[in-house]
Amino acid sequence: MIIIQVAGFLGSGKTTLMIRLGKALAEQGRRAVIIVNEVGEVGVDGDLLASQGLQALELTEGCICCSLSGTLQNTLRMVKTELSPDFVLIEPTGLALPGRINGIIRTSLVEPERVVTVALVDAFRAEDLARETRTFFLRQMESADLVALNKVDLVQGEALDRAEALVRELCPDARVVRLSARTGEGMNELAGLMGLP
Amino acid sequence: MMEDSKRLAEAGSSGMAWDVRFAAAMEEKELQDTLTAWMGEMVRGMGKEHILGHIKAVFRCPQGWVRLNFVDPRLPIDVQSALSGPVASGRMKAMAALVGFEDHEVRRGLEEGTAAFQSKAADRVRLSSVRRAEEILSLEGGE
Repeated sequence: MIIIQVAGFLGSGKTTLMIRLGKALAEQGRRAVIIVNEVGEVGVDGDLLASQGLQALELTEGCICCSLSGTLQNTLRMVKTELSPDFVLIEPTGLALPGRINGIIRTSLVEPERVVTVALVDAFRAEDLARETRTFFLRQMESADLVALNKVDLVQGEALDRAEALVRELCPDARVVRLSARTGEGMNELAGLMGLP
Repeated sequence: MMEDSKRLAEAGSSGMAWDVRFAAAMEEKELQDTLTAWMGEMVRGMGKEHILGHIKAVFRCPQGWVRLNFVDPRLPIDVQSALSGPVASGRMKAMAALVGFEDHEVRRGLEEGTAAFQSKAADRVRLSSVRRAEEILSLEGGE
């Protein structure tokens, strides 16, 4: 079982990427379960993922990196023993800290074959986020295996170069890929960097 | 104990659900426009020009789904849908998480935006709020 965590700020395109990844894995005959977390009491993304024919478990009313950390561990154990998927895709809330979630996975006793953490950055708002929530923005990227600069369908040219330069300035060691989860541009490169078939 | 990430981000959040019934069944474009107008009122209901966060909604019905996303005032509300025919009713769920807001402020924005929408579209749309317990029951029953 391989665990893929797709983290990123509110509105960075996590659910769109989840749908694309989930469908791609299903087309290859891989069994994928999505664990989606919403900070509010009403889950929207679980409904949306289910409407796309994907198997999604929704955890609401808290964040799996803090208040729902135990719930995440129980869910991971249940998924492993009862569903035995090839992949577990985790979509945390846009306010979660992915480094903490990796720690929670490590102590969950599910012993995944591999954990891949992708930090999704909204290229359109990257400069605003760095200015207004710099510490938080940085903490969401710093523990990722790779940073996907999303929404390149909305941002081109110098603005996109500035967004990438900003990511590289904040996370000098990060592997960065340009992506449009919406159109699929950059998906092959992302899959390659994630070590997916 | 771990610090709460929502508090760390100084963000507030809330979500609501409604059963929706239309006076006349809507084709896909009309439904998209109607739900986009609703979300636009939610955005205005937040009462700030600069919003950092995410307001999202999904409308599900027997004919399919409509998804709406607001992430930045400089961009239009993003709407996607897959519907097999005209829609007479469905369930709308909306959720917002916004930096610089308290939970109750986000809730009030959703409520006030919805009230404004309902007032403008009273001849075409009827809404009834879904309580949390009902939502859980409908999910357990396989909706």
